[in-house]
Amino acid sequence: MAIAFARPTPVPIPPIDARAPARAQTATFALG
Amino acid sequence: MPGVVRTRVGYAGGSKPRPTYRALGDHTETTQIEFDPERLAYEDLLAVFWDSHTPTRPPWSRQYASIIFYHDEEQRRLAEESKLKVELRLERRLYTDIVPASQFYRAEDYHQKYYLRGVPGVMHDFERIYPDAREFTDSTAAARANGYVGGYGTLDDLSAEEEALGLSPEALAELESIVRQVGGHPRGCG
Repeated sequence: MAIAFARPTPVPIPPIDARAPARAQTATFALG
Repeated sequence: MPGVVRTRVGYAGGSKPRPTYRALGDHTETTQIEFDPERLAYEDLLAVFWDSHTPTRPPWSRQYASIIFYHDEEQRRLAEESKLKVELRLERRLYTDIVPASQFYRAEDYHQKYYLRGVPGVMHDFERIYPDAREFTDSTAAARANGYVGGYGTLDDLSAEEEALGLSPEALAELESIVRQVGGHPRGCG
Protein backbone atom coordinates (compact mmCIF):
# COMPACT_ATOMS: atom_id res chain seq x y z
CA MET A 1 0.00 0.00 0.00
CA ALA A 2 1.42 3.36 -0.98
CA ILE A 3 1.77 5.94 1.73
CA ALA A 4 1.19 9.53 0.70
CA PHE A 5 3.13 12.19 2.55
CA ALA A 6 1.62 15.65 2.72
CA ARG A 7 3.93 18.20 1.14
CA PRO A 8 4.13 21.64 2.72
CA THR A 9 2.29 24.26 0.74
CA PRO A 10 4.87 26.24 -1.24
CA VAL A 11 5.05 29.90 -0.26
CA PRO A 12 5.21 32.22 -3.27
CA ILE A 13 8.25 34.42 -3.78
CA PRO A 14 7.49 38.07 -2.95
CA PRO A 15 6.59 40.07 -6.08
CA ILE A 16 9.41 42.53 -5.41
CA ASP A 17 11.88 39.62 -5.54
CA ALA A 18 10.32 38.16 -8.66
CA ARG A 19 10.89 41.40 -10.55
CA ALA A 20 14.22 42.41 -8.99
CA PRO A 21 16.85 43.05 -11.65
CA ALA A 22 19.40 40.27 -11.79
CA ARG A 23 22.12 42.80 -12.49
CA ALA A 24 22.48 45.98 -10.51
CA GLN A 25 25.28 48.34 -9.55
CA THR A 26 27.27 47.53 -6.46
CA ALA A 27 28.36 49.89 -3.69
CA THR A 28 30.53 48.78 -0.78
CA PHE A 29 31.09 50.66 2.46
CA ALA A 30 32.66 50.06 5.85
CA LEU A 31 30.88 52.12 8.48
CA GLY A 32 33.46 52.36 11.17
CA MET B 1 15.51 53.33 0.32
CA PRO B 2 13.70 52.89 -2.99
CA GLY B 3 16.11 51.47 -5.54
CA VAL B 4 17.99 49.21 -3.11
CA VAL B 5 17.91 45.75 -4.65
CA ARG B 6 20.01 43.63 -2.29
CA THR B 7 22.14 44.11 0.80
CA ARG B 8 24.62 41.89 2.56
CA VAL B 9 27.24 42.30 5.22
CA GLY B 10 30.71 40.84 5.06
CA TYR B 11 34.42 41.38 5.25
CA ALA B 12 36.73 43.13 2.79
CA GLY B 13 39.90 45.11 2.38
CA GLY B 14 42.33 42.61 3.86
CA SER B 15 44.55 39.86 2.57
CA LYS B 16 43.49 36.88 4.72
CA PRO B 17 41.67 34.27 2.60
CA ARG B 18 38.18 33.24 3.74
CA PRO B 19 37.89 35.45 6.82
CA THR B 20 35.24 34.74 9.46
CA TYR B 21 33.88 36.83 12.31
CA ARG B 22 36.13 34.99 14.76
CA ALA B 23 39.13 34.99 12.43
CA LEU B 24 38.84 38.31 10.63
CA GLY B 25 42.55 38.86 10.01
CA ASP B 26 43.21 42.27 8.47
CA HIS B 27 39.73 42.69 6.99
CA THR B 28 37.09 45.30 7.85
CA GLU B 29 33.40 44.75 8.56
CA THR B 30 31.63 45.88 5.41
CA THR B 31 28.16 46.42 3.95
CA GLN B 32 27.55 45.73 0.28
CA ILE B 33 24.54 47.20 -1.51
CA GLU B 34 23.22 46.37 -4.96
CA PHE B 35 21.12 49.21 -6.31
CA ASP B 36 19.18 50.17 -9.41
CA PRO B 37 20.92 53.31 -10.73
CA GLU B 38 17.74 54.37 -12.52
CA ARG B 39 15.97 54.69 -9.16
CA LEU B 40 18.78 55.53 -6.75
CA ALA B 41 21.91 57.62 -7.22
CA TYR B 42 25.28 56.65 -5.77
CA GLU B 43 25.40 60.15 -4.23
CA ASP B 44 22.32 59.27 -2.16
CA LEU B 45 24.07 56.18 -0.81
CA LEU B 46 27.10 58.31 0.02
CA ALA B 47 24.85 60.69 1.97
CA VAL B 48 23.53 57.77 4.04
CA PHE B 49 27.09 56.54 4.52
CA TRP B 50 28.23 59.87 6.01
CA ASP B 51 25.11 60.12 8.19
CA SER B 52 25.46 56.56 9.53
CA HIS B 53 28.73 56.83 11.42
CA THR B 54 31.29 59.18 12.92
CA PRO B 55 34.30 59.39 10.61
CA THR B 56 35.83 62.35 12.49
CA ARG B 57 37.60 60.13 15.00
CA PRO B 58 40.27 57.53 14.24
CA PRO B 59 38.97 53.95 13.96
CA TRP B 60 39.25 51.73 17.04
CA SER B 61 40.74 48.99 14.90
CA ARG B 62 41.04 47.76 11.35
CA GLN B 63 37.84 45.75 11.95
CA TYR B 64 35.86 48.97 12.40
CA ALA B 65 37.56 51.31 9.92
CA SER B 66 35.59 53.81 7.81
CA ILE B 67 36.15 52.94 4.15
CA ILE B 68 34.48 53.58 0.80
CA PHE B 69 35.33 50.77 -1.64
CA TYR B 70 34.79 52.19 -5.12
CA HIS B 71 33.84 49.90 -8.00
CA ASP B 72 34.65 52.23 -10.89
CA GLU B 73 36.20 55.60 -11.65
CA GLU B 74 32.88 57.44 -11.37
CA GLN B 75 32.28 56.08 -7.85
CA ARG B 76 35.86 57.09 -6.88
CA ARG B 77 35.29 60.64 -8.14
CA LEU B 78 31.93 61.01 -6.38
CA ALA B 79 33.35 59.55 -3.16
CA GLU B 80 36.32 61.97 -3.16
CA GLU B 81 34.03 64.92 -3.88
CA SER B 82 31.57 64.03 -1.14
CA LYS B 83 34.35 63.48 1.40
CA LEU B 84 35.76 66.91 0.65
CA LYS B 85 32.32 68.50 1.03
CA VAL B 86 31.75 66.84 4.40
CA GLU B 87 35.22 67.88 5.59
CA LEU B 88 34.56 71.49 4.59
CA ARG B 89 31.12 71.47 6.23
CA LEU B 90 32.38 69.97 9.49
CA GLU B 91 35.75 71.77 9.35
CA ARG B 92 37.25 68.49 10.53
CA ARG B 93 39.55 65.87 9.07
CA LEU B 94 37.72 62.62 8.15
CA TYR B 95 39.36 59.26 8.87
CA THR B 96 37.72 57.64 5.86
CA ASP B 97 39.77 55.76 3.28
CA ILE B 98 38.64 55.62 -0.34
CA VAL B 99 40.10 52.51 -1.94
CA PRO B 100 39.37 50.25 -4.93
CA ALA B 101 36.90 47.44 -4.20
CA SER B 102 38.62 44.16 -3.50
CA GLN B 103 37.38 40.65 -2.78
CA PHE B 104 34.23 40.75 -0.63
CA TYR B 105 33.57 37.81 1.67
CA ARG B 106 30.02 37.29 2.91
CA ALA B 107 29.63 37.24 6.66
CA GLU B 108 28.07 34.23 8.33
CA ASP B 109 24.30 33.84 7.79
CA TYR B 110 23.43 34.83 11.34
CA HIS B 111 24.94 38.29 10.76
CA GLN B 112 22.75 39.01 7.72
CA LYS B 113 19.58 41.15 8.08
CA TYR B 114 20.50 41.96 11.65
CA TYR B 115 17.48 44.15 12.49
CA LEU B 116 14.99 41.79 10.89
CA ARG B 117 16.25 38.89 12.99
CA GLY B 118 14.87 40.70 16.04
CA VAL B 119 11.32 40.51 14.69
CA PRO B 120 10.26 36.84 14.99
CA GLY B 121 6.85 37.25 13.34
CA VAL B 122 8.32 38.70 10.15
CA MET B 123 11.28 36.33 10.21
CA HIS B 124 8.85 33.40 10.44
CA ASP B 125 7.35 34.46 7.10
CA PHE B 126 10.74 34.82 5.44
CA GLU B 127 11.92 31.45 6.75
CA ARG B 128 8.92 29.84 5.07
CA ILE B 129 9.50 31.74 1.82
CA TYR B 130 13.28 31.17 1.82
CA PRO B 131 14.37 28.06 3.73
CA ASP B 132 17.77 28.60 2.09
CA ALA B 133 19.70 31.21 4.10
CA ARG B 134 21.61 32.50 1.08
CA GLU B 135 18.38 33.13 -0.85
CA PHE B 136 17.00 34.94 2.18
CA THR B 137 20.10 37.14 2.33
CA ASP B 138 19.75 37.99 -1.36
CA SER B 139 16.03 38.79 -1.13
CA THR B 140 15.02 42.34 -1.99
CA ALA B 141 11.94 41.97 0.22
CA ALA B 142 14.12 40.95 3.17
CA ALA B 143 16.50 43.86 2.52
CA ARG B 144 13.61 46.30 2.47
CA ALA B 145 11.94 44.85 5.57
CA ASN B 146 15.31 44.98 7.35
CA GLY B 147 15.62 48.63 6.35
CA TYR B 148 12.17 49.45 7.74
CA VAL B 149 13.01 47.80 11.07
CA GLY B 150 16.24 49.79 11.09
CA GLY B 151 14.29 53.05 10.83
CA TYR B 152 14.80 53.67 7.10
CA GLY B 153 11.41 54.49 5.62
CA THR B 154 8.03 55.77 6.69
CA LEU B 155 4.55 54.28 6.95
CA ASP B 156 3.73 55.87 3.60
CA ASP B 157 6.75 54.16 2.03
CA LEU B 158 5.69 50.83 3.50
CA SER B 159 2.07 51.25 2.42
CA ALA B 160 3.18 51.93 -1.13
CA GLU B 161 4.98 48.59 -1.44
CA GLU B 162 3.47 46.34 1.21
CA GLU B 163 1.85 43.97 -1.30
CA ALA B 164 5.17 43.57 -3.09
CA LEU B 165 6.87 42.31 0.08
CA GLY B 166 4.79 39.10 -0.03
CA LEU B 167 4.22 38.97 3.73
CA SER B 168 1.19 37.70 5.62
CA PRO B 169 -1.27 40.24 7.11
CA GLU B 170 0.05 39.40 10.58
CA ALA B 171 3.68 40.01 9.62
CA LEU B 172 2.77 43.22 7.81
CA ALA B 173 0.89 44.47 10.88
CA GLU B 174 3.97 43.78 13.01
CA LEU B 175 6.17 45.62 10.53
CA GLU B 176 3.77 48.58 10.46
CA SER B 177 3.79 48.73 14.24
CA ILE B 178 7.59 48.95 14.24
CA VAL B 179 7.66 51.61 11.54
CA ARG B 180 5.20 53.67 13.60
CA GLN B 181 7.80 53.68 16.37
CA VAL B 182 11.10 53.98 14.51
CA GLY B 183 10.19 55.18 11.01
CA GLY B 184 12.42 58.02 9.87
CA HIS B 185 14.96 57.51 12.66
CA PRO B 186 17.69 55.29 11.21
CA ARG B 187 19.69 53.22 13.66
CA GLY B 188 22.67 52.83 11.31
CA CYS B 189 23.37 50.07 8.85
CA GLY B 190 22.51 46.50 9.83
